[in-house]
Amino acid sequence: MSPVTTVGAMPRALLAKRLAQGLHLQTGPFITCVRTSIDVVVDGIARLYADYPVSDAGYADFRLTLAPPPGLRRWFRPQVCAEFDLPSHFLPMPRAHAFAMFEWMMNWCISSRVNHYLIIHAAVVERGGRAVILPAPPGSGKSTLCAILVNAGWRLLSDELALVDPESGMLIPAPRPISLKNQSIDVVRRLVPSAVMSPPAHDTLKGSVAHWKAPSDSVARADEPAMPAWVIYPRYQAGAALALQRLPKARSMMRLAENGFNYSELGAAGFEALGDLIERCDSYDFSYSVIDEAVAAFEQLLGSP
Amino acid sequence: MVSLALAWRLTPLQRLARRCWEGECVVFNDVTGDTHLLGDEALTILAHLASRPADGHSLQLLFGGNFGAEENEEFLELLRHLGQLELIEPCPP
Repeated sequence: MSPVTTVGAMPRALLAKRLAQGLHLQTGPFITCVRTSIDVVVDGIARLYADYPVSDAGYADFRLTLAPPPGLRRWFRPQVCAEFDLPSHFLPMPRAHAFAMFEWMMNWCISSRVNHYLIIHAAVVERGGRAVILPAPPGSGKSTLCAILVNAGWRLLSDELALVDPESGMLIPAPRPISLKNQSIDVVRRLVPSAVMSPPAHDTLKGSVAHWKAPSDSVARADEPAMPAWVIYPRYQAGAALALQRLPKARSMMRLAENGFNYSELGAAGFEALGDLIERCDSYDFSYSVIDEAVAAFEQLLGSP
Repeated sequence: MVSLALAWRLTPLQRLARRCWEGECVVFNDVTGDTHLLGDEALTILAHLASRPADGHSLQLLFGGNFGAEENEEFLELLRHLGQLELIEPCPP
C-alpha cells in the first residue's frame, strides 16, 4: 500500500503540473478531479489544501475544470469558465474570482449531486464527541461564528454543508476552507492574525470573499463522523445581548427542512432522517454581538447533560 | 362553499408520516412531497378521517361539540386550510 500523498507534499511546480492534467483531491468522503492551469486557483489550492490527501485511485465523484474562455477574453479583462461533466449554471467570472469560484463549484457538486446523505445548508462543528449544526441564511454570521468556534478549539466538519448519514444518523465530516465575506474577513483577521487565508476576491456576487484554511487536525480527522447534539440558529446583531432561546422541536424541524438542499428529493427517507436528527438534538435560537460571550455560551453547552 | 354539512375524507393514496413533540406535529405527505407543521386539532381530524369520512358536525364532536358562531368559523377555516394543503378533500357527491 503506497503512502498517502498530500497537496502540501508536492513542490509547487509538480502541483501545477498535476492540476493541469487533473488532480484527484480528497475532501472528506468525496474525490474531485480538479483540472486547471489558472494561477489563482493553483495558488489557493497550494495554500489552503496543503493538508488534503491526493488520490491515485483514478476514480472521482466529481470532475470540474476551471479554464480561460476561448477568444479575446483570455487577454482582455480575463475571465474564468467552469466546466463539469454535467450541465451547470455557472457563468464566466473575472479571473481574480477564480479561487472563490472553485470553492462555490465544490459546494455545488456536493449539494446538487449527492443524494446518499441528507444535505443541509449549515456549518457543523464538534467538540467532546458532540456536534453543533448551525443553519442560517446568508448574512446571519454563520461562517464568522463557525470560524470563531474553530479558533476556540472546536473541530470543523463543514462551513457550508451538513452531511447527515440516514443510516447511522451521524454527521459526516467534509472540512474545507471557511468562506468569509465582507466585514467578517477583517473580524477574523483581527481575532486570529496568524490565520492562513486566500487573498480576498472583491466585487463578487457575494461582495468581498476570502477563504480561511481549515485546521490541519480537522482535515486529519475527516474520517471521524460526529453525533449531532444541538441545532443552533445563529444571528449576529450589533449591540444585542446574548440570548440562547430554546426552540420547540417541531418548529426546528420545519426550519431545518427549509435549509435542506436535497430534503425534497429524498422524500420520505429525508423526512425520517431529519426527524431522527431533531429527535436527538436540542434546538435553540442564538443571538450574539460579542464574540467572547458567544464562545463562552457554546462552552457552557458542552457542560450540559 | 365550505359548510359544516360538507363531508370530508383523507386525500386518497397519500401516506402521512409524522413526528410529534410537545403538542405540535410535523407531517410529511408522500403524494405531494410537502411537509407541514400541524397542531393537535388538525392531527385529531386527520386521525379520525383516516378511519372514515365525516362531515363538519361529526368532526366537531371530537372536540366536545357546542361550538359558538365564531368557533364554527375558525373550525371551518381549519378544514379549508387542511383542504388547501391537499391533506383532506370533500367527499364526492
